[in-house]
Amino acid sequence: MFGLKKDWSLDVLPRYFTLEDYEGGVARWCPGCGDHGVLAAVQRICRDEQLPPEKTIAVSGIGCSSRFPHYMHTYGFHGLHGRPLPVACGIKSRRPDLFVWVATGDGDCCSIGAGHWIHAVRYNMNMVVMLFDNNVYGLTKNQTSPTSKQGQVTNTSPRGAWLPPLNPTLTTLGMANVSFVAQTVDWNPVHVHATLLAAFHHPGFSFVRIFQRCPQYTSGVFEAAQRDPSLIQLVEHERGIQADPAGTKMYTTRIEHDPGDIEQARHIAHGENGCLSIGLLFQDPERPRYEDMTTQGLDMTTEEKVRALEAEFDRFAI
Amino acid sequence: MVSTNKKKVKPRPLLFPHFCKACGRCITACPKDCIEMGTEIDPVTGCTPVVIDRSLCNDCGLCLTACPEPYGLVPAPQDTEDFELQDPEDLFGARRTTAPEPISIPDERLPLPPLESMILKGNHATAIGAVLAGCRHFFGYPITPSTEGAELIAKLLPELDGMFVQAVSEVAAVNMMYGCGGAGLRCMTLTSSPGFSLMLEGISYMIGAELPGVFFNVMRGGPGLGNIGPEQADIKLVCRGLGHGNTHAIVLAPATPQEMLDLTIVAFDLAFEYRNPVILASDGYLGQMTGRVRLPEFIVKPGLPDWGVYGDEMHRRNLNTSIILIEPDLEKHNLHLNRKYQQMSDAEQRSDSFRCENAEWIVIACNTPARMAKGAVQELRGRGINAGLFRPITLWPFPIDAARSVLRGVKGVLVVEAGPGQLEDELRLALSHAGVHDLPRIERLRHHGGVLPQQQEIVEAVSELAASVPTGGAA
Ligand SMILES: Cc1ncc(C[n+]2csc(CCOP(=O)(O)OP(=O)(O)O)c2C)c(N)n1
Ligand code: SF4
Ligand SMILES: [Mg+2]
Repeated sequence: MFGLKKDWSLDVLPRYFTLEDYEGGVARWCPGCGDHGVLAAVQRICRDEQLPPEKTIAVSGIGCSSRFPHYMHTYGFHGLHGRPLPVACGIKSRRPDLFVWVATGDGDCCSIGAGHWIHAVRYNMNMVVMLFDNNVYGLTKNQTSPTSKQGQVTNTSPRGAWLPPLNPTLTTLGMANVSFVAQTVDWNPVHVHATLLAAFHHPGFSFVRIFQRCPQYTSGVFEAAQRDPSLIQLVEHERGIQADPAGTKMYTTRIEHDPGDIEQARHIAHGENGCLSIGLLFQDPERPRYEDMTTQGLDMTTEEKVRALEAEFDRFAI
Repeated sequence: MVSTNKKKVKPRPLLFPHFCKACGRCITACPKDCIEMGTEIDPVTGCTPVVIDRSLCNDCGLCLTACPEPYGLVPAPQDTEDFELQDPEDLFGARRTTAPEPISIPDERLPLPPLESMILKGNHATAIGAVLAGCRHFFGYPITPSTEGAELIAKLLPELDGMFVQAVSEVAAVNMMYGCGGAGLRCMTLTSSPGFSLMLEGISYMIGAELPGVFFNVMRGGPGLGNIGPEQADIKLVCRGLGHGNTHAIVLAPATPQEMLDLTIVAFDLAFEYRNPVILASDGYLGQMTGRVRLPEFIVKPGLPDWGVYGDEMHRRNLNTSIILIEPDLEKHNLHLNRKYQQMSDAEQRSDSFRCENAEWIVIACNTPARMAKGAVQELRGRGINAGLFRPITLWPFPIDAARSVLRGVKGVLVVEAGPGQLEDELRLALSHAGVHDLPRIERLRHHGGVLPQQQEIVEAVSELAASVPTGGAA
């Protein structure tokens, strides 16, 4: 009833933003950490799209990757372990005009935050969600995560992880109201950029799983795919990720896939051929978005609100 | 079921015991009082189906309307006019015999050969203490600065007929504790402040259901994510805030790696003695600190209490729950818990005094700050200031009996904390409840956010206190 004003913009003169406008503190990830490249891609997109920094928010949970907001000179919300998605949904539910980037880790999203993840996908609020999947808990120094490989030795699985890993892409593809799912690898800046750009332009919850190197604890897991590009399968389509061919020409393993075909998307997500598939797996821009409901009434005038309030109070009058 | 027969036939109730959930609606509906709640457990469903005395039944059919189950109470087919309800005994064989009464199997302490002392990190000492205390079930979620303990447990327990599960979150971990403690088994979790916050809900349920479990909270800087430095700002939480409702648990505060081990063993004994969670509250510094640790001369072989839901026939009728819907019953349960809390308060106060005899100035501190305080007391004594250290080992119950006798006649007290005064609050609350009103002057030295009080600061603060209180008489 006492909703916020829809238009929060101040009258500002047209400005031109450079990369520096988005650069926060010096990133303190380990040298060679995959997180650096993703940060650079997001800053580039912010610059290319000329997103006003004050209209841009980086939201994260807790983990190495979740230090992301500290390195963006925008608004930031470094929240609770596992809970970036409720925070992001909270922002979007009343401020649909803001550009929200969520950084979350495989532990953050798929372990402690799994309950929130399911429902955030269903809410389908317009934001980009970057899952930094390094198959491990980095910040707490090498414990098993839900995406750790079976047999992967970590400090909490000294005899090797017992369970098969959870597949976040496949899981997201199985959730109600899913609208955008893509995968990319941190070590291909061209593809990361193109994927995040497509995610940014998708009107809904854009889930991007980024296979992320952690040279500190899981240097082995993506090593083969880094050395041998044929172990990466490029998912292509005219409605898919349009990456500069200069950045993808080394990928000889390719598959033509219509992002409207969720069955094939699931098939690709399985990764049965042993390849890391990168590209757009699924997109449906028509799915309902929760913020279209939660923002109703934001444009009510004061008079309308007073009238509505009186009508409500009338119901209690004796 | 609508009868197609023109002739008006009254439906006779036919009960299928496997589908009756004993909701009792038919009993309420029956005007002839011919249905009552059964007493026999249906071996297939585990429910106790109602029983119908057909001799009183006038086939009114109201019970059939009342029954919400599609297959529970149905009209008997017409062509079985002479249908007789079969005796369940004929249908299902002999009634199940009543399960044997569960008996408590006591713990045993098996002697260990004398072992050399070891140099251990505090968190590792805790892990070894848990293993020696017979704990074979560990549920955890990584969080700095507690994780090394869990990591060592993850290595040790699979070698020792035990198990380690990395839960998906602290919320999951505490509920696994609920399940395991509920089975009457020894279980433990190690966490740090943000994780402990998440466990509070489960701890309240465990206290309500009277289940044992050992929680180790390596307190770190807060609020919120804070940092991983040592703080003592969860004292309020562990002493006064264990989830919702009328909750308390014994809180043990170690100050050395040796105590990390010893008190972990004590914690398991207390948890089972009182059927209540026990909290160990240490700090980030202590978890990382290395020290010489002597091992005890025994290892515990856990018994099995009679109350657990152990999953065998003997424990068949046990139930763990904290839900008690009838108000007077829940009040009775709370009074019972209060009696337990009182027993803990009477019997479990623990503390340590260092040079408190003839002391005029008492420093009160626990965990790591107590180590600095001890050094300070030695230095002060060297300077001719009669200082002593009083160190609560149980923060709840506060060791008020010992505190009273230590504080008798002293001139001043300095409470030293790496936190916002929650130990002082416990002290003052305990003194107030004990009716001690002629208090000596109480001063404080506090740090926050992971900063520890230093020995020199304590020396200065006590010296200042001594200089400011007029000599001659206790205030
Ligand atoms: C409630 C709570 N429990 C545990 C932690 C400790 N913790 C911090 S980050 C983290 C996991 C990080 O793993 P991931 O999300 O994969 O991020 P990465 O560091 O690998 O980028 C954990 C368990 C915490 N901060 N809060
Ligand atoms: S520990 Fe791994 S994930 Fe964390 S900053 Fe270092 S390389 Fe990156
Ligand atoms: Mg990770």
